[in-house]
Amino acid sequence: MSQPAPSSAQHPSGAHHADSYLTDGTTVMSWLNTRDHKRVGVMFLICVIAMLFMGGVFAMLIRLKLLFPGAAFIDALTYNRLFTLHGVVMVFFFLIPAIPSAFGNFLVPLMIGARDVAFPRLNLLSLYIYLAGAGLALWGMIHGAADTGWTFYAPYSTTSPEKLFPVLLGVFIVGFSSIVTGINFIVTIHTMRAPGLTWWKMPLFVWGIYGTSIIQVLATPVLGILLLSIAVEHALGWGLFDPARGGDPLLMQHLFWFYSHPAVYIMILPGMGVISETVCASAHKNPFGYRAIAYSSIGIAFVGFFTWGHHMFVAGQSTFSNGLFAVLSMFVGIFTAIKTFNWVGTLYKGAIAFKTFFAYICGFLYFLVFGGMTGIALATVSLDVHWHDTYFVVAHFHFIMVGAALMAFLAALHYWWPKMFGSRYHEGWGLVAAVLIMLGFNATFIPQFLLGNNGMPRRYYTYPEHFRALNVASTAGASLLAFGFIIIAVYLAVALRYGRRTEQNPWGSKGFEWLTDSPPPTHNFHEDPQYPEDPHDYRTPPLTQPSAAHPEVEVGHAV
Amino acid sequence: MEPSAARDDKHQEHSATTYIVVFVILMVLALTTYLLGEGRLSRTWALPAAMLIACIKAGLVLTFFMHLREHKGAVRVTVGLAVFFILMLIGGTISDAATRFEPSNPKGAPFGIAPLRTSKAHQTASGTNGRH
Amino acid sequence: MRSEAAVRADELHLAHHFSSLERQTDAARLGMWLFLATELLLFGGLFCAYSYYRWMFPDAWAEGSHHMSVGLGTINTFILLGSSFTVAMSIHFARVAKPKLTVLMLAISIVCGLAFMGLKGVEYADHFKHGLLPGKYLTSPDVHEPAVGMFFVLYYLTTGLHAIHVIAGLTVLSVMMVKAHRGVFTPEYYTPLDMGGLYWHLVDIIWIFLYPLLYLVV
Repeated sequence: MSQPAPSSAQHPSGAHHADSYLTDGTTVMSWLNTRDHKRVGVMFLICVIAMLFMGGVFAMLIRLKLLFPGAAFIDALTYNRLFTLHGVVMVFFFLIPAIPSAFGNFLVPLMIGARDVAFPRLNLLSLYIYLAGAGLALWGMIHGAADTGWTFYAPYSTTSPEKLFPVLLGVFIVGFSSIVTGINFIVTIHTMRAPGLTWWKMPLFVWGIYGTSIIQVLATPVLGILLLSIAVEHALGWGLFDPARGGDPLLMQHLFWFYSHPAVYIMILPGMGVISETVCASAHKNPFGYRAIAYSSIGIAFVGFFTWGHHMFVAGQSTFSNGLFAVLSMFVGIFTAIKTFNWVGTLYKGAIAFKTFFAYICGFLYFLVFGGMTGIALATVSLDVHWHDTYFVVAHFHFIMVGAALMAFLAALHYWWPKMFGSRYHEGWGLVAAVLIMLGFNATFIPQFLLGNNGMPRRYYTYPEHFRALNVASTAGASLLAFGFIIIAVYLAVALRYGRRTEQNPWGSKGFEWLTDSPPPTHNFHEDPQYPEDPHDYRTPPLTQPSAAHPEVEVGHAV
Repeated sequence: MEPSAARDDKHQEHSATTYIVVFVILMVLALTTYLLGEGRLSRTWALPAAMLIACIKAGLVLTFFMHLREHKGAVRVTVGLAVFFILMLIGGTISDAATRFEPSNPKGAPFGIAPLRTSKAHQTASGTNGRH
Repeated sequence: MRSEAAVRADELHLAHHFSSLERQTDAARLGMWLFLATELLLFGGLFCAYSYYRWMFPDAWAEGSHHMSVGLGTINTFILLGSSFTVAMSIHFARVAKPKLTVLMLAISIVCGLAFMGLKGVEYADHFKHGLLPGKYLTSPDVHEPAVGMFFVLYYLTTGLHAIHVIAGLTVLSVMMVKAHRGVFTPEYYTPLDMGGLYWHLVDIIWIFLYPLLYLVV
């Protein structure tokens, strides 16, 4: 059982964070064997950032190859393996756990006034399941060299001569971790809210996580059974997806997208939650339409399940189903638009503090709207026939999954950095990096929209000479993007080591997680917090929990 | 809140008799579905009848053996959502197969056709598909 | 107001981050039901594949179900329903503080589960003997419809996955029986038994649907 050792006693008083969760046991084992949701969250954060780095390296290798129209320093098969690695790592090991498992774990209990998540041991287990699965899949991909793309489409995956089993099993296991996290959050939100913190007083990030968890719980098992079927099919050749024996590859795509389309919302919904939080904190204004944002989180989670067929418009799906799924896909646009209007409405006439995370909010809104609108276009059957499987699709989903989701991830990292580590980073460098990343991102993917529209297919090793200029532009943009990330890595590492200590509530935020110390103590609160106000209520000055450590608090109505 | 008192109430309302009655009903239903199946109902009615009986049986197990009737909203919603999404998955996929241009559905392939892996199958496939 | 037994149960089983044992039980139960929902969707994918190919190959499905040994399947259905009943009874006896009967009921359930697996093994062996195997391995000379192989693919996938769940369920029930024997469960605290029981009932529910879909439907 988890009985944390008495902490503050050993530490000299006067140190600011004498009894924070970071100092409560500093041995490696005290981290590896922790039950503390905050430490699990931080460990997840480290893992997903490592995955982001790895996926980024693969992406850069792909982009470098595409500098040249013909064969260049890697061969075609290696190229296939690289984009498979890039896709699998980024989708399954970075984007899906990034915000829920790292920030969700850290913040959800703090935001709902709980001492921990409902199942702390399962929470830690989910980290190890994730590591085991990711390790197995990575080993399998490097050793067995999967070359199917992250979608594992039949018949590539059923007839590929490579060893696929470790990859499939690894992704299956990571799915378990995702399910466990989802179950943990739903139960935590249902049963662990502090007295007085009703459903309609939950911070908007928690609503986002709640919607995400529903998808994780209900969709991931379908991916699991599909991966098992593919493994059986690949190993034994029973013919489940093989037309020569009565099977239908389209069934595989149905099952795959039943998970993988909602999975896009696993990536973006928590990001939307982050933006809902940070928008209020940067504008110092109550959210415009709190309930609309909350309802639309659940709405997206729900509607996201009925749109999967729009990935199969040219795969041989029936005309009727094409129409059906095209129409259903439009509903996601409605809910997303509700959120976007609400965020903009929140910013309107707000007292905006232009911090680094605000730059990422602006980026998020731009990428979400641009990516979303191209998504609406792609969900239109007649247009999709032209764009399907071209770089247009690649650019579109990178705008949403990387553009928007990554902006939200970076906004979260910067907004909650003081909360998590108790130190401040350099705002100036933060803004520089944000600008570089956004410019680099546009420079990478806008050429890809044009390439796709001109007919360059995705996943091809070579291309005709006349696509070269745009490909070079795209690679140049990617380099800029990578440079931005390096800057972030440097100044955050510096902040971790030498950064000045933060006040309890540096942004003057009214989010409930700021009611406790930054960084928080092991059991989150020194005394049980009270919730007389709604979340993000900026009509009164920011509240702080009276605590021995921080008598003085900056009241941050900026600019 | 008086947890122990609340729990005591549940004891009384759930006597062993309920379980026995439910068990007997389940056995009778299993026998019925077996006899209907052996009687070879017409193809139109065999599936709906069997599925109706299966749903009743699953409902009984859920309600009484799994104590769903004692539990509050969240648990019931969970079950409802899971069932709903399975039906959506099946419905969405079948609606595709059912409305396709019929000859494009696989035919179950007579025995002896070479599996996809060999090059011969590729040639046959591309040959018969013949572009117009 | 609170009985001595309830206070003792709190001391033994209440984790630090919950305000009451009642809440902790609620959390465990909701978590378990969510897990059961994921299990349902796991099988949901296979049910989807089943329905999809059944729609395409109704004749092959009819023929495939004629190759099943309906007798064994039906006996297995009765056995599994019976085991579900005894698991429910074991929880009932834990609630009314009759630990010996709890252990007995769990023992009967485990025997039923083992019998189920045994009969399933007999059935599989029978199919192997007659060459009723999935996909390209189908060698039975009595098969006429080309897609019967697909029926057997789904037969082995669904019953195989179900059998894995039966084994997992049997493991859970065995652990619960040991715990019950040691007197861990009281009328105030029997959450693990309750959760284990839920899992076993789920296994039963899956079979309730598999049985008519595989054995009976013409």
